[in-house]
Amino acid sequence: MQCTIVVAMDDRFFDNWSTQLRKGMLELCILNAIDGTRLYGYDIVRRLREIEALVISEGTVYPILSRLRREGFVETTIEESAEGPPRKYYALSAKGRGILARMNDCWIKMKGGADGLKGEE
Amino acid sequence: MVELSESAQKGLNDYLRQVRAYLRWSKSLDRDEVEQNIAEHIERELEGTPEPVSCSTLESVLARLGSPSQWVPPEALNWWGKLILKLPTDSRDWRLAYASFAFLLAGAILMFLVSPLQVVFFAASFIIARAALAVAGDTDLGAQKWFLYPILLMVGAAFVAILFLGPALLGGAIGAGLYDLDEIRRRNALGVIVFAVTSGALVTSLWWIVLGLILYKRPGLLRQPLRPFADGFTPRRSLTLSGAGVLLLLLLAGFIALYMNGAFALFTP
Repeated sequence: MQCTIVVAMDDRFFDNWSTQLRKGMLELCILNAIDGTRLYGYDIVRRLREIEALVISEGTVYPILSRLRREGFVETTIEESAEGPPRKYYALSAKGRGILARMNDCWIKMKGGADGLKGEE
Repeated sequence: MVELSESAQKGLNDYLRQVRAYLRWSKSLDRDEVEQNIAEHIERELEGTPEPVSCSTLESVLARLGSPSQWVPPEALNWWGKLILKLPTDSRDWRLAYASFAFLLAGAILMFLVSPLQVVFFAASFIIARAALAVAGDTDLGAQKWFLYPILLMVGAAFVAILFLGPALLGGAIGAGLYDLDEIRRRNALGVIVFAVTSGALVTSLWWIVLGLILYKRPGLLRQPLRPFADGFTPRRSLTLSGAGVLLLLLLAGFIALYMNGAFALFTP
């Protein structure tokens, strides 16, 4: 019985931690997905879907894209589509490229630092 | 647009209705943009699916899309939305209805004790009742209405009276005030009443015309404070108000013309 409770608490701890991590990583992943290209909302979702550990509700991507656009990190263009309604394409702005470079740099340093703290096998 | 089965369409409408309910609590998000994103996403997800798309297929798409609340991130919520989302959202939970009615009763009792505190209790009752309405969204309140509607009706009636007739009282008072008090003593008091009523009616007619035009552009200015009683108020109805103002103005012009020609000699000093 005690063992079950400990496992459940561990799961909850891990879930909370990984949720926070994913939230933080999502913006970086979205910006990286459109780095050097322009994609439309659904295609960004599809690319993020490929990252197994990200496990997100797909609808969370769109509000983030809207916020990134409002903050000037992302630019949008609307183009007619032969397959359906007009599509909104997202691309990095100059400001977005600048912040993405800083975010990637920060992430690499953080990951390197965390890896460096791991005990010797 | 892909063709949905009847039940799938119902499911999608329900999802969109819930998203719109959350969007009400955010001023920063573009409602059209959100709905367009949802429509596009679903359209792309269902490409190549046999039509009409079944309810279970749509449900799996909506499940991956996530809950309607996530379309409004916490940082985009206004203070009212943040407050509402902390409240019990189960329509079977009567706590808000009871609390609103309790504050109303307390306010009513305090009225007899001649205390200005009753205003605070009525305000609390009203705010809680509005919160209960917001929590319920489009869900039927059922018997909770008996506890929530009294304060909403009371405040709504006061709001309507001030909005529609307040300027009339103000105009009447100004009209009466224009008369010299010494003149009133010397002349027929009915003259003052006629002048007050005429100026009140003049201000009212002009106000109704302007108010009707304002509400035509912004019907929410009436709908929001009078929820749920004015939910059906349309811009077209606001033009009726402007029409009533024009009619009153014409009647008033006729009355003044007759008055000037001595048709109401009784009132003239």
